[in-house]
Amino acid sequence: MTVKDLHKKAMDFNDKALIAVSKGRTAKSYYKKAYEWEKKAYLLFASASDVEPTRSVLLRSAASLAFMAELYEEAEKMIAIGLAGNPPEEIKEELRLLNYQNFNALSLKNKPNIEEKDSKNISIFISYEKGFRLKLINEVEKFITSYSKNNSFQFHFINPENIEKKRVKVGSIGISDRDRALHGKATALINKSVSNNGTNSKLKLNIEPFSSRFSPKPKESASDKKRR
Amino acid sequence: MTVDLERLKKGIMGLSPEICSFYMQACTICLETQNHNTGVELLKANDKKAKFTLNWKKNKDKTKKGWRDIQEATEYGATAIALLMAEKYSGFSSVERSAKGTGFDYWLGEDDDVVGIFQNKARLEISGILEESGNNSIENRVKSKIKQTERSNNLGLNAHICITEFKNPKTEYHIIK
Repeated sequence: MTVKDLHKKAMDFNDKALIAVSKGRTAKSYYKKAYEWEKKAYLLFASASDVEPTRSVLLRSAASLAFMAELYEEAEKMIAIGLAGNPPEEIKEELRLLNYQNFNALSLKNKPNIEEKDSKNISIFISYEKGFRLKLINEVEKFITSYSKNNSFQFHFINPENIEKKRVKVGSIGISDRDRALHGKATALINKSVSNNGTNSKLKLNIEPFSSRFSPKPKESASDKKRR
Repeated sequence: MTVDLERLKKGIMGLSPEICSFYMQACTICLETQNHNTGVELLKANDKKAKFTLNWKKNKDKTKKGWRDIQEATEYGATAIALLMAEKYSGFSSVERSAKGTGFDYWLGEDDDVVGIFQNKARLEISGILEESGNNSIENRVKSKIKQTERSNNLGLNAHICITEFKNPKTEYHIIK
C-alpha cells in the first residue's frame, strides 16, 4: 500500500466517525482505527521523505485522530514529532493548539477526583443559542467554570457524545465548537440535585469562547525577564 | 446551468460515495428547511451571470428527523456545494483531506503524488450560513476567511474559499493568489 492508500483508509474511518456523531452514535472506535491508519501512513511517508507540508499535515491529522479517540499519549507523541521537524507556521500553530488541548485532557485523565462523593447527583445539559452550535468533543477542553453553594464546586468532564444522557463528575466542562467557539457564546444549564435534603437547583452559565480565557499565555521573552 | 445534487451520491473530486452522499443529504435538508424544492436557483454571489438550478429528490420525514442539528447540516451542506463549485472553478480534479478537530481540512490538487500527498496543493476553506443576518453574511465570512488564509500564503499556496447561504441560495467562490 502507498502513503495515499493508507491515508485514504484513515479518512474513510474518519468519515464513519463523522457520520456516526451526526446520528448521535459513538465514534471513538472509528477514530481509533482512523488514527492507526494515519500513523501507518506517516511512518511509510517518513521512510521515504520529509517534505513539508505533507509531513506535518499527516502528523497533525494523526494527532487529531488520536485526540478524538482519547489516546492522549499517542496524540502527544505525534504532536512532538510534528513540532520537532520544520512545519510551516500555520501547521505549527495548529499543532501547538492541539498540544494545549491534549495536555489538558491528559492532566484531567490522570487527576484523582477528590470530589467523587458529589458526582452522583450532578448532570449537565447543553442548550444552543441561535446560530451557534456546541459540540462537546472531549472530556476536557477549553472551558472551566464553577459555581458557589457555600464554597465553590467545579464541574469537570463531559462525554463527547450523548451529552444529555451523561451523568458527569465534579470538575470542569469541556466544550468546543470548532471554529465557532472562537466567535460565539453558548449556554450550559447545570442541574444539581442534592439528594440527601431533596433540594434542586438549576444554574445557567454563560460559556465564553475559550480563546479569550484559556489560550496559553504568550511566553515571556528573555528580554522581558531581564527587564523585570 | 442545471446541477443534479444526486450526482454527489457517486462521489466527486476523488471522495467516496459514502461521504459525498452524507454531504448531499445535509445540503438538501438545509434547502428544504428553508422551504426550497428541487429546481431552486443557486446564485453565484460574485458573478451575477452565473446561476445554477439545483435538482434533487425530496427527503423523507424520517431522514429529516435524523438531522437534529441544523447548524451541523449547514456546515456539511456547504461542503457539498463547495465540492461542486471546486469541481467547476478550481481547475483541479481532486480534493485531499486531513483530520482536524471534529472534521477535515480540504486540499485541492492533482491526484498524482502517492507519497507527498499534500505537496503543491491549495487549501479549500468552506463555510455555510443557513440565513444571513446582521454581521453573519457571506461578505463578512469571505473577509474573515481571507484573513484566515493569509497564513496559508506562507506555504506559497493559493487558497480557495467557498461560502454558501441556504435561505436565499447563493454561493461565493474565491481564489486567493
